[in-house]
Amino acid sequence: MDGTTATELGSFLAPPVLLSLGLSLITVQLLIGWVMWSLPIPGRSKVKSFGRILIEDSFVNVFVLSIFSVPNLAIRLIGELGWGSADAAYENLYEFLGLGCCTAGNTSSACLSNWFGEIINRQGMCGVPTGAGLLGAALAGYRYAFWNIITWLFIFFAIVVAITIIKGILPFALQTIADFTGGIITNFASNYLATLMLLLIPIFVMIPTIVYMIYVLYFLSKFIQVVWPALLLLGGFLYGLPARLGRKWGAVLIAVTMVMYVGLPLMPAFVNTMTSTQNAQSLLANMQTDYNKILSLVEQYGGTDIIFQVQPRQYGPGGDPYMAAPDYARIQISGGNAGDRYIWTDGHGLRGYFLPTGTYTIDAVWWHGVPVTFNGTQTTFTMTEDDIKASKESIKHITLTADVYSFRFSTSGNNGTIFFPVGFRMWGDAWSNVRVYSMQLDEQGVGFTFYTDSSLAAYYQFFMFAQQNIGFTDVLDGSAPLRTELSNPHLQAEYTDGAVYWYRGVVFGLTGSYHTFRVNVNSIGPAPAPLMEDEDPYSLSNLQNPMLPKPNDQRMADLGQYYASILILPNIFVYIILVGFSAGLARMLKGRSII
Amino acid sequence: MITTTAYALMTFLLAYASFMIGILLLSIPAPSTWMRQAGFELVADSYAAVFLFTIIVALYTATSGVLSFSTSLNSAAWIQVEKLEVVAVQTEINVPKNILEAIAGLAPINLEPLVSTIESMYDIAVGPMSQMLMTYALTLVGLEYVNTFVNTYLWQLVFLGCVFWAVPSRIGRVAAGWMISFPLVFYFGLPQMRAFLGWFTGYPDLVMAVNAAPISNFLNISTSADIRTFAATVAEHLLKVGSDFAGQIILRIMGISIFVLILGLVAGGFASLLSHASSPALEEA
Repeated sequence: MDGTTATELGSFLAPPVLLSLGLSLITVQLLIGWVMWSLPIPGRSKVKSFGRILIEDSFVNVFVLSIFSVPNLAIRLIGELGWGSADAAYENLYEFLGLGCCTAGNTSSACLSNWFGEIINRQGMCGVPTGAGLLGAALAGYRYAFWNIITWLFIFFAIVVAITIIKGILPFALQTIADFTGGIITNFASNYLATLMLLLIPIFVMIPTIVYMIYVLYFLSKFIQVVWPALLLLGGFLYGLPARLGRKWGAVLIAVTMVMYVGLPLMPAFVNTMTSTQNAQSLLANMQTDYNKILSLVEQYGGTDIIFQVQPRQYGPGGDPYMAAPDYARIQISGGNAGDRYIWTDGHGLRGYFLPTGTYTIDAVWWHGVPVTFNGTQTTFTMTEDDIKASKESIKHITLTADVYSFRFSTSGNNGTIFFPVGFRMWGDAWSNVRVYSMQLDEQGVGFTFYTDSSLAAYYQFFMFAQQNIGFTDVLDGSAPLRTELSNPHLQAEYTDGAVYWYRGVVFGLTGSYHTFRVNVNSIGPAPAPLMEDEDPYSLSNLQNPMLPKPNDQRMADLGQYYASILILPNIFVYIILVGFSAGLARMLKGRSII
Repeated sequence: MITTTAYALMTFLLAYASFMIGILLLSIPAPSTWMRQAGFELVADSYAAVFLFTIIVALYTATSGVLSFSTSLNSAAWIQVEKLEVVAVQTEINVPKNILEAIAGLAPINLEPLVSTIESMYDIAVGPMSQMLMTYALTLVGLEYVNTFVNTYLWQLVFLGCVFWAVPSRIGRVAAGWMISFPLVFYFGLPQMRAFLGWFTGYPDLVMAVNAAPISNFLNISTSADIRTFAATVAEHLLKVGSDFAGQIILRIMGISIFVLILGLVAGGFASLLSHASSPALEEA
């Protein structure tokens, strides 16, 4: 036996059929009511009262049935907000969800934003990811969360390496302490990391949920968009059945259909209004910026983004050039996001170093252990994002000229080459009155003549660094003229490879007074290895490093909040606001509450 | 973002619409009780909508003014501290391993195999504690998200709820009830979580609770000289600490769940009170 086919059912449920059927039933209801009401029964009769109710209901039913035109009117009203038709409003909704209707020939940016979109565009498919909208934003989060985890692993790796390095350079007795301290630090760091990773868990849970919810909303919208006339008329039909037989469920159907059909396209406006303080693009861009910074720091730590060069004076007294020999120097740098750093150059006065972004100042230069006056190409400089990038074209170079004479010469009878630096540091009210008048450099040693042509008294100080392997004698000639003194040498500082001596001169203000200081080199032994250690509390090798690159927790929190918003807000709109309004409308139509 | 003024304007316009429709129904010269009742009800609803909005504005002003100085309304800080305490406790649990490694490092022979074996056993013993801690931390993170969401969207949702509440014929009252009650109840309720946990578990903060459990004794027993006594003491303390500690963490998770449930029920009740909107006059029609 043949049953009712889908086509037949479809034609039965077609709007004109349902509409005419509903009107017919209402007419029947009206007529029955009229008959009952006009029965010649005296007094207050229940039959007459029922007839009156039927008549009232039939009028209400006509009104409700005519409600069929309301959604169209409402959508047109919404259209005044920017959409030409209901279809355009729904297309906007789908694009907002990230499931645009990329029909053939649709060249909107959402449909061409990725390769998948292009295929869709050619195929003319609907309801598939377009690479934009909520779906695109949700999926993009995976990528950033992944990179965040990788970054943290880098940092953790750096901590472990730093502990290992420090342990390696410590004597055995201290290694246990380093082991213990390092163990606790690693322990704390790993737990801290694990807790931070927990921040990501809600995101990882939320993203698939968001994807499912987006599809649910899409299918609901598509369903309502397609079948709303049938649902509405079916509701009207049920509503209009005589004697209120289907009034409750008819009211529910009518209310749900109307509210959903008109309300769903408004969801993007609702979400955008509520989240105007939250912008996924900017949040993700911030995360990307953080990530780039961190990656750059992690890549660059231990690398070089700046070269310092400390050089002695290139010209002797009178402007005569001489063979200047650079040597070890110590530089004090302050600024950036941290305090002072003390770093050493090598024996050539050069030092490659890594400094994070920030503005720095070179506060002092020591020639070995003795502070000297200096001038430089840049005593205040800024490390920019470009400066610390691995792909930078050239490394920043800072040259500092110390107020030091440094010589490289061979003494008679010795084939070795030695450095023999002498530096000057004048002080007092009139130190500028004292100057190096002449310099005598020969195979035996070096001599300086200090001279003043002023009548003012002045002090000056000079120091001399003698390597451990050098035997020398100093000759102080303060004999002419009178009242010019030169002190005996004082030991300034001792290093493993030598010592610094300083001398002090005083000129009592006799015009033309001078004296001579000379050092004769007697012997040269094998050169010792220098031990010059940096004091940089902010380098990675120091465990108390406050500049350790660290992602911004707040940004993670912001992103999590954003995901919570795009998960919760659309669903609040549909499942609380629209469903609530449906319930309200259904109640008003004397339907049963659906909540 | 819609301003408070715009919300006020929308609410008053809708209330005015209710009022005018009500007056219209009242003034139709038809012998229908339904119309008269509906008319009276619409007029009364318009007053009620404006009254509710006024109350909400007063609450908003008080909250963003006087009450904002009260840190008791910021539960985010407590959650952050509690999360850090989870880290601290987890670190403390692992300290015996650090001590063991350090002591083993002093020995002239290689004790690494022995140390790893003991550490594995220790890890198995404290594994449930660590997992519980992580579960607790995850609960806190979830709480943090709810707290952030409520704090971010509180007034937008509540004011929008007021607007919906003012829609004529009480159509929007169900939606409005939920939108007003849930954010408000959670906003004022969540900060009381710490006090509730304190009452429920006996300790408002995790570290206090853990210190009450003798977990710190791990540090003391490590000074024991005799290795057998040491092992026995460790085993005994693990059992005791494990049970105390597990009890504390489970209590805390239960406390949070119960409190959220209570808040949900209160919010649900409040929502049904606000949305009880069933219009008697209209239903009798």
